Formats: sequence, structure tokens, C-alpha cells
Amino acid sequence: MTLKAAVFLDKGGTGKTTSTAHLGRALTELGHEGVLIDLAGKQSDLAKQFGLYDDQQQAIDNDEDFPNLSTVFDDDFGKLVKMNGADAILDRLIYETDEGVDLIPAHPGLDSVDGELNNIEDREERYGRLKKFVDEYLEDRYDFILIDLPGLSRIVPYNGVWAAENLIAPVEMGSYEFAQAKQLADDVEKYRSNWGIDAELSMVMPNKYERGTNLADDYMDRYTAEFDGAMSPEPIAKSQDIRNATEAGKTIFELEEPSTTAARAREAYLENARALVDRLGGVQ
Amino acid sequence: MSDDLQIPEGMNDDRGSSLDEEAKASERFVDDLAAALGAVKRGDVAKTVSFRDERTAALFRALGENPSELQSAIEEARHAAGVEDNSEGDRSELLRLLVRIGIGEVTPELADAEKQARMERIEDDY
Repeated sequence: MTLKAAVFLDKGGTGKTTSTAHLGRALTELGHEGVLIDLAGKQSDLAKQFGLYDDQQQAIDNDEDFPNLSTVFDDDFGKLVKMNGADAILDRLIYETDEGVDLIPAHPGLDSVDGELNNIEDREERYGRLKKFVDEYLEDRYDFILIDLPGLSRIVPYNGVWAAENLIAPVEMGSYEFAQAKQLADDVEKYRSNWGIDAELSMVMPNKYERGTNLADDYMDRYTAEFDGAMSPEPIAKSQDIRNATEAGKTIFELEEPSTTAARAREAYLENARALVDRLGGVQ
Repeated sequence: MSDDLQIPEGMNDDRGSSLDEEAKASERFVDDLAAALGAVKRGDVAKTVSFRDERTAALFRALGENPSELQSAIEEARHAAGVEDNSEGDRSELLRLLVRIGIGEVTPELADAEKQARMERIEDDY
């Protein structure tokens, strides 16, 4: 069984991409093989995080970007696979990063997919396309699949929710973010009742956490009271090194001399990755 | 990357962002419009346009019976369309001008597309 989770919160800037990259990298560090899927927008931030952005943009500029993640949502994707074989298609879709985890990067075509899926009346057809792709082609190949979703409630992100069912919400210590996380918990109940899927808020992971400040402590208490069983075991420390590593096209796991906060964040990601495995099962 | 792949008929293997897709749709429309202009010019498609509307039919019937009202409306329409002409006009000219002014004001993107299509035709003709 494969561990599947989507990183989601209906708000931008809470560290969804950083969390996806680092949790994926942490699971790899723990010996699991996995793939990250970037549904978070045409800016292709996960490709930047792993230093693959230029390669991907070059492929787009040279018209060498077919098939790509938007193709997965096409009516005829199954036919394309049948005509060419799954390996030929997946080889082109999946990029290998230097950090061991694989990546299916975002593509500009994704933002026109939403409008096309909007015309489909059948709910499973509309929201279930990514799930079909994940279940049929990725599940057997990987121990874990993490999906980075945009901070928007639209059809493509909901495809990510259907495919993963387990949600990870990165949160910051603030009232707005706290309200967003509560809203997500309510939404998860609606996903379950309206769509009949086994959606679950599996992990609430505090981000950019400044240990020892009153504000952080207060909010941590509030989060813990509200999301008790879903809280990640460790908050992720605020660290300039995370930003520096991202700018350099890598995760903090690749830093040779991490700062104290980066080392703490790395340990926290590892601990949270272990908890994810415990909670969701799947990988050994 | 797709050169050695078999692609199902009708599958979009060049999907861009929604902005790119909109631009492509608009290019296709200009091409269709240029082709239609060619068909009209060759006589494959009628040069006349007709439509059914009781109120407009009554208005133009009454204008036909009142030449000074008609001429005054034609002059205003010519002015709005930027046409310099002092000759006596007819109901057909008035309708033509009003439709063109309407297209330009209400759907300027259609007027632009028509302009581009005419340019395309001129380039094709030479």
C-alpha cells in the first residue's frame, strides 16, 4: 500500500510547497521511494525547489513538453498510454531530482484544465481523473505520493483531494491561519458527506515556528486544543536557511553546514515524516 | 519529446495556459474569418445578410416612407462611423453602418478580428 497525501490549505503563502518538498525529502531520507506531484500552479515552484526549473522551461520552449501533468486530465490519456505503453509516457512525465525523490512538475496547461473539467457533469469524471492516474500508474511504483495543491478551491485541486484523501495542512501561528485550518477541517467533513470519499485531515503542521515567543506558545495551545490528534509531533522552526536552500534549488537536507534552526527543522521534518507513516500506514 | 509518440486523434498535445489557449482560439477565429471573406469574394457565400425582427422591420418601413428622417439618420451614422460622404443614402447603407458601429462599440474584439482577417486576405492575395 502506498502512502498518499495532499498538502492543502485554502490560503497562499503558508508553506505548502516547502512542506511538500521537505516531507518528501524526509520520507526519502527514511528509505522510502516516492514522487511529488505539483498541482500548485504554473510557476512550477517544486521544480525550482529541486533545481529542475530551467530544464523544464527549456522543454516547454522547445515544444518538448508533451506529455505533461495537464495531459493526465485529458479524456484520451488512457488511449495515449495504450498506444505507447505506460513506461514511455511515465518516463516523459516524471523528472528525477538530485535528492532521490521523483517529481511530476506543474505545467502552464493546468490552468486551462479547470475550465474543461467544469463542463463535465459526472462527479467522478470531473474530480476523479488524477485519482485514476495515481491509482493505475503510480501506486505500484512508489512507496509514497505527495501532492502539492494550490491555495484555491477549484476543480484541479479537488482532483488532488480525491486522489490523496489524506490532507496535510501547513499552518502559521496567527488568527487568520487558525481560522483557515478550522475551515479546512469543516470542509473535510463536507468532502466526506458530499462526495463519499474518505477524506481526512491527517496532519496539521505548524510552520515558521519561533520557539519561546508568547504568540507562538499561545497559538500552539489553541491549535493543540482544536486539532489534538492531527497535530504534527514537531513544529517546523523558522529558518532563513530554508529560504536560502530554496533559492539555491535544494532542500535543507542538502545543506552541508546547516544553521541550528535549519538542523532543528530537518529533525522536525523527519519526525513528522515518521508520524505520517505511522498515521497513514503504507510504507514500511 | 512527443516526436516518437503516437498521439490519439484530436488530443491536444500543445496545451498552454488559459491565456495561451484564449490567444490560440482567437487566432483560429481570425483564420476562419479570413476564409469566410475569401468565400464571400468568390461568390461561394451570399453577400447579403437578412434577419427577422418585427420592430426593426417596422422602423425601416417607416424610414422608407420618410426620406428626410432616413437621410438625417444616415448622416448621423456616417458621422459616428467616421465616413465622409454627402450623397443621398438608402436604408441598406443605414443598416450596414449601424451594424458596423454596433460591432465596433459593443464587441471591439470582433472588429479587431475582422480587421486582422482582412489584412490576412490582402497578404494572401499578393
